Amino acid sequence: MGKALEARAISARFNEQVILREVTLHMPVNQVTAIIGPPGCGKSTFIRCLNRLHETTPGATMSGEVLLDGHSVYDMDPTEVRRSVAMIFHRPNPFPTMSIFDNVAAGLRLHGLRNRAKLAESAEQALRRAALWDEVKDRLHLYSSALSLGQQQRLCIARALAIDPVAVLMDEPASTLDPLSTLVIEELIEELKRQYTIVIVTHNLQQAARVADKTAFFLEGEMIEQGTTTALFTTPQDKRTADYVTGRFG
Amino acid sequence: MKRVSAQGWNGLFAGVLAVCVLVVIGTGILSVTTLIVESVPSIRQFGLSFLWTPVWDPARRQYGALPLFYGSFLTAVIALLLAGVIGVTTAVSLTQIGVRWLRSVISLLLEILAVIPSVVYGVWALLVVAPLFGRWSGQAGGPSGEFAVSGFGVLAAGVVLGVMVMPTVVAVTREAIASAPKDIAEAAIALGATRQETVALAVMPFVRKGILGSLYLGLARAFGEAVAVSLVIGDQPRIGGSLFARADSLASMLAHTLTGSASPLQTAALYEIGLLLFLITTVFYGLGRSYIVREAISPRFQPW
Repeated sequence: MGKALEARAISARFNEQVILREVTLHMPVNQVTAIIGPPGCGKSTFIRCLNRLHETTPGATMSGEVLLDGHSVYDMDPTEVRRSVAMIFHRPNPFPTMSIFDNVAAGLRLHGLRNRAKLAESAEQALRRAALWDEVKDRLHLYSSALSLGQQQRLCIARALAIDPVAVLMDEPASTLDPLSTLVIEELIEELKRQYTIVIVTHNLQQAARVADKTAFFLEGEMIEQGTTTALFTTPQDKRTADYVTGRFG
Repeated sequence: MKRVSAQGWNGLFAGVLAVCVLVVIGTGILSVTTLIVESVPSIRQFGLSFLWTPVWDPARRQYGALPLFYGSFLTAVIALLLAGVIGVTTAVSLTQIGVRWLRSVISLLLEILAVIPSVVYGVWALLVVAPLFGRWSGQAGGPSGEFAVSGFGVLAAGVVLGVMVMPTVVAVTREAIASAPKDIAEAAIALGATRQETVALAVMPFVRKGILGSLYLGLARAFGEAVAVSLVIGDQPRIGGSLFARADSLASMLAHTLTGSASPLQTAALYEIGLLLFLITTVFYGLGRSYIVREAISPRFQPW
């Protein structure tokens, strides 16, 4: 089971530059929440605040509260937070110097699992959940670069799932992929939401419409509107949302 | 007044450029040619055996480079062991310091270390390092004057070289760490890795080549250093077999003998040493450069 994420009045900056202003958003358990908006609207920074990745960039600061299942993540050990709230990046970033198997096992080893049989079992399970097992089971020892870009992204998903997170953040996970690989990722998201809370950033409106239960529209660092995906796309309340979803800008 | 056409200016510009380029290239070619021409008598006399003859004795007009190779290699190896271990550790540790101003201060200090004239290091070695080793090794003290009279040898020279080379190793290794891909490092952070674990898991695999490159550059520097080595190595071209034994290196021999050369043959032999030194440092420098990661993030200026 996943756990709900809730952002309360999150503001974020890089040095003096304000990126996010007082964003409040509830991301329900076992649903896909999509964050949409034009480039530079702060949507990536928003999810990077959710797992405390934002603060690892020099000059980055934030305020406000993020609750994971009701507990403030800013009261927790940051490495614990990132372990529970996984992140998939816009460009597939498997460890290039490691084999496919070692990539999936990296997180497990990091957190102290040494037993070979258990590692193999968990890795297989993660690769199955990421819908990659059948394609790689005979070549687990190859370098991750032997895989296609779409497969590499699913390898990153498997690597993230291997350490049993409760929520998965995805930062434009299909933006560098071809349409077919994108479709595979979207089907996977549909599957994954049964077990995890999913937050996906996308600049692709059709993608949000296809995969998300809930959608929030960001503009210039502020959250303009949120609601069920159907409501946001068909009966937007704010004119700026309407202009964006009908393709008048962005 | 006659106006100069655009073409005229272009011609002038090209001419000035050509002269500058020729001066730079010409200087290089000329110095190498001088080295070769001046070493001819020595090459005629000793042939290739110059490289492995274990005797350098002006009194018997016997010149062989082996004792100098011995001194150069041994001091360089000691220097690299020292600079490699301490330098790489320092570079990695710097990435672990969370306080930015402290990091800047330490980097600044290291940069200052790199620009201190080598003779200053030499004097420090003469007054501090050598006497220390002299006491450890129990080397005979002799009449003590103003300067250290014991502790001269391979180890003292190696240590001073190590201190001199270290800033280079730190700087190049830091550069390599900084150019490791950020998205791979973030993959590790997002898995819950600490700062240390991120460096070990996702940064160091990209840094190996940079470290190797920095060591080759250090080797080139250590080989070429004359003054600091000359002050403490003992100036005796012998294969002593002990770290505390006096010896001499290629560069040091050149520095302290050339002006007082006893015969034309000795001068020629010294030129040949210079030629060998030039070849060796060029090779190490080339190796070092080839390993250093080129900045791949921003597009570089490419002459078309």
